[in-house]
Amino acid sequence: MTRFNQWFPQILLLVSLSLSAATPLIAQTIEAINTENPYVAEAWERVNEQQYFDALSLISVNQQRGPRTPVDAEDTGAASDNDRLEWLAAKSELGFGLPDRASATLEALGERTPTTKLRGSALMQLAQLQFQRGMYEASESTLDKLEDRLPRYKKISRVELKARSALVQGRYEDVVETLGEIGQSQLDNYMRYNLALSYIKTGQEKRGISLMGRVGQMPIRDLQSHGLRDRANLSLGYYLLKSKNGGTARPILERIRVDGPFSNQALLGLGWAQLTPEGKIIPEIADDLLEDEDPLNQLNAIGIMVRPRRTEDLFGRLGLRPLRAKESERIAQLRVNKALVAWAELIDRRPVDPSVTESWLAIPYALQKVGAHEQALDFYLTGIEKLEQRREELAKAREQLATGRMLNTLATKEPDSEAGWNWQINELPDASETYLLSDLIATNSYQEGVKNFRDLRMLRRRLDRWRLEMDALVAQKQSRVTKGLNIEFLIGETRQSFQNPYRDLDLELALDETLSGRRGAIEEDIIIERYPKQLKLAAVPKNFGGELKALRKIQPRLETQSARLALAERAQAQLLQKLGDNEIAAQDEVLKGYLIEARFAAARLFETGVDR
Amino acid sequence: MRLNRFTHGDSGFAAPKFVAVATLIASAVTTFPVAAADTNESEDLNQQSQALVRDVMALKKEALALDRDLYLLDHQIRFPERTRVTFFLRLEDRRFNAQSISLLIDNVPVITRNVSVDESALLRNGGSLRVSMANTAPGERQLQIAVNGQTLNRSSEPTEAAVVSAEATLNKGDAPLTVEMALDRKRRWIFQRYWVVNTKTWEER
Repeated sequence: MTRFNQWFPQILLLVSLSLSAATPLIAQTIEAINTENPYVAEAWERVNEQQYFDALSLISVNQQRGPRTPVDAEDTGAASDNDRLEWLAAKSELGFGLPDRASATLEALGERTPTTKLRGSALMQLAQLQFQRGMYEASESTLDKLEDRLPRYKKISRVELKARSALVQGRYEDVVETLGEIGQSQLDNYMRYNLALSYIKTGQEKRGISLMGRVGQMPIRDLQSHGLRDRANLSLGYYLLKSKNGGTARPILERIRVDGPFSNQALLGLGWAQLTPEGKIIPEIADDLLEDEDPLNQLNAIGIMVRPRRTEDLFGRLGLRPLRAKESERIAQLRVNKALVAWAELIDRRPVDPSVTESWLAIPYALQKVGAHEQALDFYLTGIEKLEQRREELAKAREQLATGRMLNTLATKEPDSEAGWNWQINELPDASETYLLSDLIATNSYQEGVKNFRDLRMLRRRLDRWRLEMDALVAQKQSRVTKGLNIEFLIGETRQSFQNPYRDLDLELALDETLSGRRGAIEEDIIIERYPKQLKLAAVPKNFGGELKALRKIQPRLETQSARLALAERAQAQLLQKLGDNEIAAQDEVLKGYLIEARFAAARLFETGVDR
Repeated sequence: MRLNRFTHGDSGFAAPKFVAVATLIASAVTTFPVAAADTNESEDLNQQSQALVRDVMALKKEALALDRDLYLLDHQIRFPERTRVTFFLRLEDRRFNAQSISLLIDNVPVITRNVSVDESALLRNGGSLRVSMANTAPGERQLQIAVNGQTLNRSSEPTEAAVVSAEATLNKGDAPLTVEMALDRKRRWIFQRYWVVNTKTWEER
């Protein structure tokens, strides 16, 4: 579990790539917005802190109230801040998992804004969003709207996205053509990987193999580049294996890390590569292989495992009795030994990985090949035991899954975080069902489900806080109204406390009937001129209902929304549970298949043994 | 049953190789596919999932609109438009680490608050901090602000305590007012007033 947790973020990263395309995650940071308007700056800060809901709420309030502008600013300043707010809104909508709304905002911004830089960013973001949502044609047409006069890095991004779009649609010729628009030196390793794949798919195998080989040898700068390097080697290794070039596939697979997200598949493949025909020499990578550093000298690569001295004591390592083999099969046995070295490393690894499960059956198969039938039978029986044990674990995990413990643990990490679709599950709860479902959890669809579950929960909690605030305001207003209605009490109170400030003065009031000139004696315009109006009527109040009425009106809305959120939260939890359930059922099906194979093979061994 | 009389070779064995090779090749293309559950059930689940995603998105939008209305109503009650003043603080002096802020209007304290570490970092990075909202009657008002903090050296270590303060006259009209109090690099105060313009344009758009 510890080892898996170590690799889980990498697995997530690589799952998000898909084998053929390097889909970028939603941008984690945004470009600095040069503004002096504090409202825009405030929204920008919220977006930067990934508080997308807060940012959207602020922007929405600002839009409702109208934009603010400095008192002495020119009109153009307001328009610019307006666009900036729209840009931030689109970013927040994207971050909060509202892609359709973000798409509309970006489209409007891309059409409207006169600022080339902002327009370019908006259209690029829109194209990426459309690509992520599977609207490939729309994405390409958005990219076509971008001006040719783009900064170099944006031009490369445009080409890269266009190529990926063609790649996922299987238009490999277009990928080759599109990536050919920019020089080889400007291609990054992801683009090289995609180009290599497209070369192979379009029949230019030599170029594809050569380029893929180079990606597999690129210098390792970080975790991501190491992952891509391993992936390129795995793809190339399996491609060569499929085309029955075991001899060339071996050193390629040996470049992969012993302990990494692809190590299990690589170890399994390496074992099979030993049992596959050597194949022909492929000149495109033969030179590379000669120039390659000796994989046996790389301490963290799989190559280190097949060093001669490690194969010597193999049967001892596997706990087998001395094996007697015919002289004529010595060479074949040596290769089987090497296959067993790789698989022996695999059998004790995380059993959730199908490569590991497969190794439980691959080892006895290889032992059979060299005639070690008794040992093969031992391994089949152990394999059967392990498979049955795993099926029992699956059944228990299914029960645990029904309690909802895993989902609650996953969702309660940083419960008030509004990171929305940028939020990732980086650490798994320590529970058996999590262990078995880790591959499912790493998929985008499951993660989005968990994110939606968290978002719904966060919204409900936020509305709960609002409800308390509104209740307090209603109580406050109600107490004022009650006091205000007690007129007699107020008059009595006033009478008691009132002191006439003029009580010592002898004042008389007289009715003045000549406040203005006598009607008809003076012209009306002279009156208006001499006695300009000092008083005017106050504006009619917008709402006679008052604040209490407004509060009472919004309270049921709050209740309804909260209830709907709770319902959706439950539905989302049920769906995630169902997905988990199906995954467990599917794993069980695979195990059943392996179990049948193992039992059948063991039975045949028994039968043959008895017959002879 | 004796099992030690096996001959060499693999004739007569039902080797599980086809299982292995099938998964092996599949793994070259994607991660290992597990045996699919019933196709119809899977399709149903997919449709159910898509419908739920749509519902969740609609709910999010509604919640957002409701949150905005609640925010507006709450502010309308606590800070009516006619008396509302919003204060922002911005520091252009990156060597000043703000720790607390006091604000007085006509010698009456409006707010005294601490500046959190995050807020302080935000201010040093050129951000704008919403200090407070207050109610004040229209007319000419005396505003006093004092920011307590520390002066930082080149390595961002505090060297000495510092207080920067200012007084200004505030002309509050009938409309809500936003005041940004900016401290420039020479620690001189700049007061910038903002007002709402052209609300109708926004509603129509």
